[in-house]
Amino acid sequence: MKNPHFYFRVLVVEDEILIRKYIILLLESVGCTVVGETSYAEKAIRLAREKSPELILMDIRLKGEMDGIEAAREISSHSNAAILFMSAYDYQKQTEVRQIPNMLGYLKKPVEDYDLVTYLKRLSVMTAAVQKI
Amino acid sequence: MGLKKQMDAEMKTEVQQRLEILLVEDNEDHAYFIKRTLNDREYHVTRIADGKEAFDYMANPPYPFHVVLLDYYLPSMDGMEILKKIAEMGKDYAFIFLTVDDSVQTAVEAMKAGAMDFLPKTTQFFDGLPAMIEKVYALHQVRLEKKRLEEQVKKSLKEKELLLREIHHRVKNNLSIIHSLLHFQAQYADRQPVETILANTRNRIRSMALVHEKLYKTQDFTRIHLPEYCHDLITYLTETFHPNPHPGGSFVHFKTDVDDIHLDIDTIIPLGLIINELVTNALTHGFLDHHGEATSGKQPRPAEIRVSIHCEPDKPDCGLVVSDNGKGLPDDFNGDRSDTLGMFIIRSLVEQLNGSMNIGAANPHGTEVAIRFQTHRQS
Repeated sequence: MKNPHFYFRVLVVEDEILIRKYIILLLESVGCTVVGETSYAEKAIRLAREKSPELILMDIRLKGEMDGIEAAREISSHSNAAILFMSAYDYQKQTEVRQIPNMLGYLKKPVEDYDLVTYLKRLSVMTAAVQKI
Repeated sequence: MGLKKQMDAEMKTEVQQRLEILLVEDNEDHAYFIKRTLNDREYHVTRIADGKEAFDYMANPPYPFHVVLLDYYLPSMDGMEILKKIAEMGKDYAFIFLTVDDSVQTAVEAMKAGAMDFLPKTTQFFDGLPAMIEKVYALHQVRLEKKRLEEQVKKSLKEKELLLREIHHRVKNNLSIIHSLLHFQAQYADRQPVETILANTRNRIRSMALVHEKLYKTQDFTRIHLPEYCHDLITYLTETFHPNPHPGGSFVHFKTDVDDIHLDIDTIIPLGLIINELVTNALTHGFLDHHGEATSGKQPRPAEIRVSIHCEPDKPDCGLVVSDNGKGLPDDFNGDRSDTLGMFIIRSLVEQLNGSMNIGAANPHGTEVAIRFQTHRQS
């Protein structure tokens, strides 16, 4: 891929493993390091603490009791990681998603590389701006 | 007494005995007359003299009742107020409103407040009371039944909406999986002829399409009959890899032994893809030579592939075994490291099902793949 390189540490939370592996492939192809991956909200919260990722790709529907929005809310309370939601079809939850403090955006599935890169660029700009301050 | 008359009398008694009447009346004389009027009907009458007490009784009835005879003027809470408060609570009782005041205005007010009929307390009207009770009771039963059916329709509609949303999500999710698979396929594109790549991709998509095809034929659109699914999947695969069709059927003989169970879509999609890959591997690596020609003709034994799926009763644990009597694994084979797309897909989906995999030699010839996995089974 002839995209600019990003060096973010990323956590991928997605319960369809083939889709997760594909997203990891996309992330790695643009220079990101995947520091953790899981199908479960509960494990995502733990990995967010342990691995301190800068970006979390979060599916909304997950295995287990909690969904991705609840996990994101919990993670936002103790982490500054930007959260990029992914979902095939959950428009009714858009309002809930927007209320998450560290939300970076909303990726529609199937995830396309150019969509992902758009958000990575945005995150780079935001990170640079914060560093200037 | 003639037989018909006797039967009619018995039936009437049966209906009458069923009716529980709640009489809310403070005047002793009126209560006495009403009870006497109802005496020969063998209703069971419960009488309450106080308005507030009657309201509390109806708000939380200790015993069920069918018809309420409700007086207008009562101590502590009048009949009209009781009607309105009971309606506010969303309760639906069969009220007959009783009063000495026979003005049209009172009647209309009572009916608007929820009474089903109205009876002025005069001697000649009392004679009509039993018939009125039966009529009101019958009408009220119809009204309750209508409400029950309406609730049922609403509930069913809501279930259908949920189901539609769920299926929509599944379809989009499965398209996303296919999208990912195509991306992986592009990474492996230089290893195989394009015809093979496209055939494999078609088979993967078909293993998923078959789930939706089977779902559509079920009652509740949520579960799949496993033996039927496996049979169809294997039949399709056999037809795809049918290099030298014999008049009598496939060059490979299949033996399937699959438990008679139903699986939900979350299990069957990955499981179907795994079976698809394993059977494809068995067919291609086990029995085809480098030119895609069947090697079975050159073998002393008839080519055979066995697929078995067994689940432990009342547990989520299941085992899938796919074995063949083909030429066996290459000496340097390592399942964990094997970097074909098929093996990558199998490893990922075994993880999806919280499972484990063991690849080894079959006895006495060929290859055996055993997978343990967990399912959300539905009996």
